[in-house]
Amino acid sequence: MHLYKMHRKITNLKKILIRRYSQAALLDQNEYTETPEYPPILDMSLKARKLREREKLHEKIKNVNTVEEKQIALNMPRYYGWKCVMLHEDKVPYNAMPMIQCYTRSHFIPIEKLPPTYTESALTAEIVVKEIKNLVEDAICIEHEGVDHSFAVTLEKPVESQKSDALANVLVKQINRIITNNLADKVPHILSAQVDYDPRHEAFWFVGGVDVPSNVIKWRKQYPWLKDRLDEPVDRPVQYLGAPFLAMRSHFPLKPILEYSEAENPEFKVPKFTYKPDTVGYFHAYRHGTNIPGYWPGDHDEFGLLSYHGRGHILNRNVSFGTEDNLEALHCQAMLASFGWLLAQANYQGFTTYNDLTYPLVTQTIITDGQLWSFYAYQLNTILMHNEKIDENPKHNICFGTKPLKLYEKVENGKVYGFNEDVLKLLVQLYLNTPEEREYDLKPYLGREEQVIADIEDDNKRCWLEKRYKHLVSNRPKHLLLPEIYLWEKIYKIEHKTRFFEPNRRPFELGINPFKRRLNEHLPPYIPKALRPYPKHKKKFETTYYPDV
Amino acid sequence: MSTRWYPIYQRGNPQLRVFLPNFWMKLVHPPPKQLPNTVHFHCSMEMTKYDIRNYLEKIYNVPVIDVRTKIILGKFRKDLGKGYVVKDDDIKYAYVTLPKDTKFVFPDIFEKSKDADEEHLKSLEEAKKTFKNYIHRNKSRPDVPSWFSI
Amino acid sequence: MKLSQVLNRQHIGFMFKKHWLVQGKRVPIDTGVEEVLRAKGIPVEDALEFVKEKPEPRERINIVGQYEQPLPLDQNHPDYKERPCYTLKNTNVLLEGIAQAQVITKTILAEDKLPQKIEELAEVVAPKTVHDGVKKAILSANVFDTEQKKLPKIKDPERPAYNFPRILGITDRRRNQILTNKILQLVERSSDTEATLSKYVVNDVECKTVFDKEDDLIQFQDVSNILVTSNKPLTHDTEKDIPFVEIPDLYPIKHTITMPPEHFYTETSKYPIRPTVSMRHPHTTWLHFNSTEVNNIYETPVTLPQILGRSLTHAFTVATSYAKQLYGENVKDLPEPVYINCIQTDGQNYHFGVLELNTLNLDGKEGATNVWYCKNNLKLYDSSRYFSGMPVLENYNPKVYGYINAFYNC
Repeated sequence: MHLYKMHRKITNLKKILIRRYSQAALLDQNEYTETPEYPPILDMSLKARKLREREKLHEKIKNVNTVEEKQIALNMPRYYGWKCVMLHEDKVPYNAMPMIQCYTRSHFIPIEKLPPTYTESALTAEIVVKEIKNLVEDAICIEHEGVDHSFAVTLEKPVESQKSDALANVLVKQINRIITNNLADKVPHILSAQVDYDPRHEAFWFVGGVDVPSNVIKWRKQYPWLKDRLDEPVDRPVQYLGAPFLAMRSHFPLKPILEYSEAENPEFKVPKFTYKPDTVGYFHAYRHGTNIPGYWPGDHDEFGLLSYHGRGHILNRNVSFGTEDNLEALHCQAMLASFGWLLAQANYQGFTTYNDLTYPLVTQTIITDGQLWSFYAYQLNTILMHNEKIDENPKHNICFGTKPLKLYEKVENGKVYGFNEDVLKLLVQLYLNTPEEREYDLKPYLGREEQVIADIEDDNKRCWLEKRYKHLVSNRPKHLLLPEIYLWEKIYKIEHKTRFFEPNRRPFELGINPFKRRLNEHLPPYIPKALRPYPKHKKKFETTYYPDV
Repeated sequence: MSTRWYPIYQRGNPQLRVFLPNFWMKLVHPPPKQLPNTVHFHCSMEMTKYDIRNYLEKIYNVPVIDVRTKIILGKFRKDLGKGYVVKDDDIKYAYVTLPKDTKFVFPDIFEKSKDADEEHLKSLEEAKKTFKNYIHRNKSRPDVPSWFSI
Repeated sequence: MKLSQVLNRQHIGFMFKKHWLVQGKRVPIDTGVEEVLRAKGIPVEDALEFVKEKPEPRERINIVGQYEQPLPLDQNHPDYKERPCYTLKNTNVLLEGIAQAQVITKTILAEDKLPQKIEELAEVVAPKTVHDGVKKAILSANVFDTEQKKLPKIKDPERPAYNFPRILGITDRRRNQILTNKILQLVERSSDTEATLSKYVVNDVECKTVFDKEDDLIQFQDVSNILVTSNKPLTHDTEKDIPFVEIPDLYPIKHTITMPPEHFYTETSKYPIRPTVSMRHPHTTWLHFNSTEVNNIYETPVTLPQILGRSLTHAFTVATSYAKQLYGENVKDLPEPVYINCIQTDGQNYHFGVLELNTLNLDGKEGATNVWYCKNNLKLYDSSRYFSGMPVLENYNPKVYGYINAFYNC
């Protein structure tokens, strides 16, 4: 024991005495310059210091090498997950359009026909439509009357909407099959494109400029220096969850619909929506922010072409909302779905909600129940809308959208009545929109060698990160229950101090907010003594590889 | 007003119609920032969303788009004099959404009484002032009663 | 020790209990009111006289509820029948596997032998882009899909009570769905237009067939995960001089073993596509083997012969339900044989089969028999997963795609 202690002391001494890395002072560097060089004068007010701190964080996230680490970095500040505004694709409350437009920063342009970039494919589309028209009609008939489909009904949603979605799902698959089979010889990108059935689309971002919740105001009131900053807006984490029927993606991104410079056009300005999301009818949930475009990082086909969504949820809406609001709900769904998917794709390119896109991304969204089809084209120009940038950022996203168009009037006795070829033509044109290779670097914020964690050399680090990332984005329930202030504590300890004689042990008595715990504030897995490397090895806990942000 | 117990309707129950049930709704001042087309109410605990909608539509002809309700826990307070903690009754809140183009502004009920209040304050201020003057004047004569003067 | 000693000790629970007993039998105190009233000449009546009548029992209200309740499974159920029907569903397997399936379906086996045309088509070399597509499909089904659902519990036979952390990942159902659909899409996109125009693809459709065999009523209920249909019936040129595996003798086992008898059934077969549809003739049926869903009824793990037997019963179900729709419910010997291709897969292993349905007279072993050509256990890849954080696909076997392509185009 003594020897051992002695040994430790000696090594410590050695450390002090021996300077392993000594450098000779650079002699040729001239200490003096002609004009005096001062360090920049920094604003040392609290606000400015905090702002610099945040900017440093954004810069750090930007410099993280791999996609997955960036996602973990976004979630680093919260062990129990962010308190997110949950935007579900199929739950649109009344009058949600202003809020959704602001939260996705999308300018909506109602259109009758597709934007000008699609005109060149119109002729080909017409030929294709002539070839496939009968097939589509047959498919509609067969799916309506010819095949007995049985689908499982869940009790979570009304049956009507489930039926509508189930029919739309099978019809979409058939129509997609017909169009892709026909186009596979004509356009090369269809053959190599991947089709996902029922993928998982999730996106996470921060929105600033929202009214402050009352508990934050209460918190601010206790500090005199925050007195005149009570109503300063805060960031809100936002999580989108979507479930398209079918999504198509390819290796190259689609061509932009508008020039990238158009993004700063003041005509596309979106009015700010400052009311709290709960006033519109959205809810909150604690969860880790996830950005998932339907595949894990590292897949070959990274850019979306088009996605099909259901509109069964319109049937669940209150009748009193009226048809006009139902139409707006569809637009909301389309904007959310397009923005969400593109944002997740952008995250896989190394951009995050703090580091803006450097080029536009485009996707096409179709919302259908089989009979009514609405088409949307969406160009993502910016994903920067957190508190500091929501007012400064001049860029906006643009969404073009049609009204719901009827593909057919009705199906009776194995015949389709009132088939509308123009709708089919629009659909084919979306398929004909060819992705192209871009000339610039698509992943400027990712490492040169390491872009996803599969590229990392260090075995331990790679395995650890892979496991941690998957665990994080699964959002599985925690092993231990979330911290909670029990009602009796609130009554007898917080609101009325009737138990002052008891020792202070609970977090709220010690002035700790357990929800502010950081992701890496936990004990790493213990290494049993038997498994530690021989001989004496004092490392008790395994290494963690959380990104340093 | 009826004294009949108003049961909550379940699907399949016999449809019971109570004439003039014990329902009330109280318009309350919304928290500072709220969408202009929402109105806040307190209402009786037995009212369902349908009841609230019917109450507003049928009695007051208010076009109702959507009703959201929630029950808020009553406040805990110390009983005056006794010192133990008591709880107030829970309150049912109803958030009623009107058509999006309508705008609701909470009426200023106490407009007149405000002026009276101000006058009251003014006289109070004056009284304070005179008292201060009096103190100032008699600074050098402590413990002398007020009637003992010229 | 005597019990009373314990009971005499101070025991609050016991005390309360006794107290309740005492308090439960309270005797009303005589207040003397009765005497007073009687003295004043006011008649006193017993209160119990008024409550003598029992209240009428109220009728129970039938609560409709949000959803329709299923009818109780008893003898009044419309589908109830006295005669039991031995049922094989797609989540169950036969005990003896392929041998039992042979007996029930009266089928002879041509092992490792497919019709000549298929073998020829399977030799055709597909372009590299297609194989790249298949590899992408395998990776996307096993590695890159983002489903995170609970996978089956991990058990260590050495210490069966140990609870391992539950792993989240891609379920076998989803994996098979993605893989088979993507491969089929690739096959269709790379095939001639004529081939695709004459075909139709439906997902997850149910087939049902009910038949008699030696005084037993048997029904097969199966789900075809992908059913490719064509506009004209499938035909194959088959050879008759192959060494067939004859129908085995199962003695002492009866052929209905491990098929639970059901009393609620309908006696009609069901083919999912109605006769009005022109493209209704079954061509190829894909069957998924999801190890979490398919089980023996006696908890033993599913064996290879049982999986192969599943292929045969599945193909038989689709073919007979189609034949019954075509020729009527009571058809015995078919005027023309019905052919159907069947591909069973658990994602990795592929079992190909072609059924030639000649007869539905399944009694005994004599007379016309059905024929099952099969080629089993072709491996598409050795492993595909995240191996220490990296996506891996090992030993891709391009032959399998050849067979799938041949099955589609034959």
